[in-house]
Amino acid sequence: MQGTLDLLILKTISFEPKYGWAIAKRIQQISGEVLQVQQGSLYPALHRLEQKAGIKAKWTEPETGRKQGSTR
Amino acid sequence: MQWLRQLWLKLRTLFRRERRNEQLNDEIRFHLEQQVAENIAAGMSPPEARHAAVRLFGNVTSLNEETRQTWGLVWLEQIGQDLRYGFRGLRKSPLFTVVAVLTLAFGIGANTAIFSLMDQVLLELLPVKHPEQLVLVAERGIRFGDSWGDNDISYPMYRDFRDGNQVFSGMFCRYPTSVSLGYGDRTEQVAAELVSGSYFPVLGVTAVAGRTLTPEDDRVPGGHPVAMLSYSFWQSRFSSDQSIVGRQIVINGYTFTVIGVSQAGFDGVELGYKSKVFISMMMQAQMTPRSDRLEARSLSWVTAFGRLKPGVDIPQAKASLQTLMHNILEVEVQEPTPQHYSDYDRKQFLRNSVELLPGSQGWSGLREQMQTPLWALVALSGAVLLLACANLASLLLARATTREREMAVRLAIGAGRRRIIRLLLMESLLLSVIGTAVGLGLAFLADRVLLATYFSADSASDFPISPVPDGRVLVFALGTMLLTALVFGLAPAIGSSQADVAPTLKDRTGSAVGGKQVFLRKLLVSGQMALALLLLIGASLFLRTLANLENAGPGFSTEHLMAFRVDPSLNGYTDERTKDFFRRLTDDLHALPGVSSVGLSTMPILQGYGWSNPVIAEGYSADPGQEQRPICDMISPKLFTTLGVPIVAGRDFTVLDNRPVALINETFVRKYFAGRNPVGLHIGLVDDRTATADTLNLEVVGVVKDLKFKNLREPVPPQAYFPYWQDEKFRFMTFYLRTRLEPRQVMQTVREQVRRLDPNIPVVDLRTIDEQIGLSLKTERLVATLSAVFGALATALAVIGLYGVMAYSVARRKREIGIRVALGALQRDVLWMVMQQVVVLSGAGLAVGGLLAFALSSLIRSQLYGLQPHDPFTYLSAAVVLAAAACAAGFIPSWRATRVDPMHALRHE
Repeated sequence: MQGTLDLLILKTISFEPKYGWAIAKRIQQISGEVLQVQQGSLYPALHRLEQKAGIKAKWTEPETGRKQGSTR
Repeated sequence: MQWLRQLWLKLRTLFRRERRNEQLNDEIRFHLEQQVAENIAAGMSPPEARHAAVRLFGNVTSLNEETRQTWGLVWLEQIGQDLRYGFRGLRKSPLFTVVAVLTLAFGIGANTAIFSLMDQVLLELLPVKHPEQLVLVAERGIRFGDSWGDNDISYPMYRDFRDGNQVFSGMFCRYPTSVSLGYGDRTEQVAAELVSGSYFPVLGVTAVAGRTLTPEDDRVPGGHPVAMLSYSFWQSRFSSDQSIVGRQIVINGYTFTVIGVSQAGFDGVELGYKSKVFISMMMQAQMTPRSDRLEARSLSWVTAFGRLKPGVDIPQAKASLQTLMHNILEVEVQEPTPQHYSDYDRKQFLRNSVELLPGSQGWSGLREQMQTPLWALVALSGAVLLLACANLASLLLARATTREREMAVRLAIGAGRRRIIRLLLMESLLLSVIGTAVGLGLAFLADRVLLATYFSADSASDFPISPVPDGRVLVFALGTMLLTALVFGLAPAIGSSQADVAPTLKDRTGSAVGGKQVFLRKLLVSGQMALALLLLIGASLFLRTLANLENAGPGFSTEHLMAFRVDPSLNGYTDERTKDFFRRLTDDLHALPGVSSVGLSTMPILQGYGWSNPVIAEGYSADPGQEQRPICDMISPKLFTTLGVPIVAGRDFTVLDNRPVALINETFVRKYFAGRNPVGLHIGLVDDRTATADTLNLEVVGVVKDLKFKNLREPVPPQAYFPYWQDEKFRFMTFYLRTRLEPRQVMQTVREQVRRLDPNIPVVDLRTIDEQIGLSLKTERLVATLSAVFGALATALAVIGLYGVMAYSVARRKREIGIRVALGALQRDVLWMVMQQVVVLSGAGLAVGGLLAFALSSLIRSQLYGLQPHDPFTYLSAAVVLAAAACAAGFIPSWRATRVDPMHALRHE
C-alpha cells in the first residue's frame, strides 16, 4: 500500500514539479482508491521520499504551498 | 554519498525545526484551502465545504506528527528533552543526587584505579612496531648447565636459531645487567641492557639523536665500545644535551662512545626494568666481569625474541623451529655434561622442545609476580562496583515509588512506556556520567598514593607506571559507566513504566507497585550482604597473610641490622684486588664506633636471589630424576654472628680456613645426613659448566640454624655456605652490619668509609633489614591494604543499603504499625517485628556470601601464607562483624518504628 503510494507520487512528479495539493488531485484522478480514505497521508509519504531519495522540495511564494519535484 | 545527503537533511531539519514546522502547517493549510475552494465551487456551503475537506484529509494532528517522524533524528530531539527532564529531576532532589553520585564515584573510581594498574602491568604492549608479531623463544625439557630463568637460552643457541630459522623476519636477544657508569665527576650504578645488533632494527625502535646500535656493532667480542642512552636517562642525567652524541663515558672502567639516544618512551623490553644504557652483546665479558658466556652452551642467560614473518602463526613457527632445535640438541649432546647422562636421560634431552611465547608485551618477572594479586583486586573492586550498583538500584526503586503518581500522569496523558523507560534510563545515565567524572578524579588520586607507597621513592621514577589515565582506561571507565547505568537503572525504569494508571491515580497509597519494589529491594540488600561478606573474608585473608609473614620473620632478629651491596668488579678490579677491598672494608666498618659486628654474603638475603647448585654428599645417593639443588652462598666469617643466627653444631668459618670447608643448615642435614652427625663429613659441588670435580672435597665444619633466604614465603630450602675467599667467580658482596646505634645514624659514616677506599664504587641498596623486609612484602601489603579498603567500602555500602530499605519499609508500614500499637502491641513486639526482617535479610545474605567465599577463596590459595583459604576463624569473624554492623543499621529504623504514635499515624493518611 505504502509502496503503491510512493510509486504514484514519483510517477506524478516525474513530468513536472507539482504542489502537494496538485499531486493529491492527480493521484486521485489516476487511482481513486489509494487516497480515498485520507488525502493527508500524502504528506508523510512525500516527506519520507524527500528524506530517502529522489525528490527535492522547493518553497515557492506567495502562499502557493510547497512545490515537489523530481531530481531524477 | 547518499547517506551524507540524508544526514545533512536530518541535521538541517533538526536545527530549523521551527521553520519546518511552520512550512508543514502552511502546506497543509494550503491543501485544505484548495480543497475547500473546490468544494465551494462544487456547490457546498462554506462550513460544509470545510468539514468535507477535513474529512477527506484525515486527522490533521496525527498526520502532522507522522510527517514529522519522517524527518528523522526525532530520537535525538527526544533525548535532548529527556536530558532536560533528567537534570531538572536531579536538581529537585539534591540529597539523592549527592548520595548516588558519591556511591557511583567510589565504585567506578575503585575499578578505574585498579584497571589502570592492571592495564599497565598486564595489558600494555611494547611501544614498538607491530608488537603482536614478536614471540619469545624458549626451551623446554631437560636443560643442562646453569639457567638464569625459565625462558632464557644460551647465546650459541640464540645464534643457531637466528641463522637457521625460516619463520622469523629477524631475531634479537638481550640480557639485563647493572653497570657502573661514570661521566664527569660522578660514577653511579645504572640499569643496562646488553643487546644484539639486531635489537633496534627488529623492534623498529629509532634514535632521536645519533644512531641506534646495528648488526655492525655486533661482530667482534670486546670490539664495540659504543653505547646508546635511553630517552629518559638522557633527559635526567644529561639534560637532553644533543652534543652528548660522540662524547665518551666510562662504563665498568672502559671508555665507551655514546652513539645515540633511543626514541622517547622506549626503556627496553622488560616491564619494571627501565634500561638506561644499551650496550652491544659483544661487550658481555667487559660488562659482566669474570664470566665469558658468548660461547657457553651450558649457560642459559639471554632472552631471545623473534619477529614472525607475515602470515606465519605461532604453531607453524614452532613446528618449523622444532626441526632446527633437534639439530642444535644433536650438537649439544656432545657437550661435557650430557656426555655423563644415562642413555635414558640422553634420549629425553634430545626430545627437548622449543616453546614460543607471545612477546608483544616483552617479558617481565614483575608481571608474572603481580598477575594473580592484580586479578584478585580486579575481582574485589568489581564486587564493590556491583554493590554500588545495587545501592543505586535500591535508591532508584525508592525514588520510583515516590514518583509513581508522576509516572501515572505521564502515562495517562499519552507517554509511551518505552519513552518512560528511556526518560528514567537517561536519568541513570546522567548520574553515571557525573559519578564517573568524580570517580576518574578519585582513581587518579588513588593510583598516585598507591604507586607512591608501592614503589619506594628511589625506584618510583624508574617505574613505567603512571597514575594518569590513558585512552584504554578512559574507554574502560566509559564502558563501566554505561554498563552500570543500565544495570542499576533498568529494573526501576521498567518497574515504573508498568504502573497501573487508574489505581495509582485513585489510590493514594499506591501499594500495588510499591510492594513488588520493596521485595526487589530486599533481594538487593541480601545480595549486598553476600558480596560484602565475600569482600570482608577476602580482605581478612589477605591481611592475616601479611601479618603472618611479618610475624614469621626471616628467622633472625632484624633490630639494628642493616645491609648494602658493592661490586668493585664493575670498576675493573681484579680478583685479588676485590678480595683485598672486601677485607679492608670489613675491618674499617668493624672499627666504626656504632658497629658491633660485620658479615658478608654474596647473595643478598630476602631479595629473591638464590644461587642453586646441585650438591653431592657423603653417603647419600639421590634418586634418579630427584636431583636436589640446595641454595648456595659465599660468605665471610661472623655472618651468622651478625645476623644473630646460632651455629647449632661445629664451628663458624675463620679467616684461617684455607682448606675447602662448608657450613650447612639444619634442613640440609635432614635431607642429606638424616640421623648422622654431619660435622667432619664431606660434600661436593657439581659444577655444571665443566661437569668435573664430582669429588667430595668440602668438609662440613658446622651446622647453622635454618633461616629464610630468598623471601619470607618459601619454606627453608637446604642451604650450603662456603668461604668467599676460596672462590674466584664471585663479584659483588652484600655487607651486613649489626649496629649499636640506630642504623640511620650509621649510614652516612658507612658511605664515607666506602668512599674513602674508592670514591668510584657506588654503595647500592643501603637500607635496614626491616626496610628490606618491607620491600619484599610490598605486593602483599598492596593487596592487603586495597582489599581492606574495598572490604570497608563494601560493608558501608551494604549497611547503608540495609538501612535505606528498612527505613523505607518502616515509613510505608507506619499506619499498620500504628494500628498494631493501637490494638495493644508492645514496644518490644514492634521492635522485634522490624528486627526480624533485618535478621532474615542479612542472615540470608551472610549464608550466601559464606558459600560464595568458600567456593571462590581457593583461587587465591597461592597468595596466602600461614592460613588456609577456608580458615574458619576468618569466616566467622567477618560474619560477626558484618552481622553486628547490619543489626546496628537495622536497629535505628526498628527503634523509630516503636516511636510511632498511633493517633498520628492513623490520622496521617
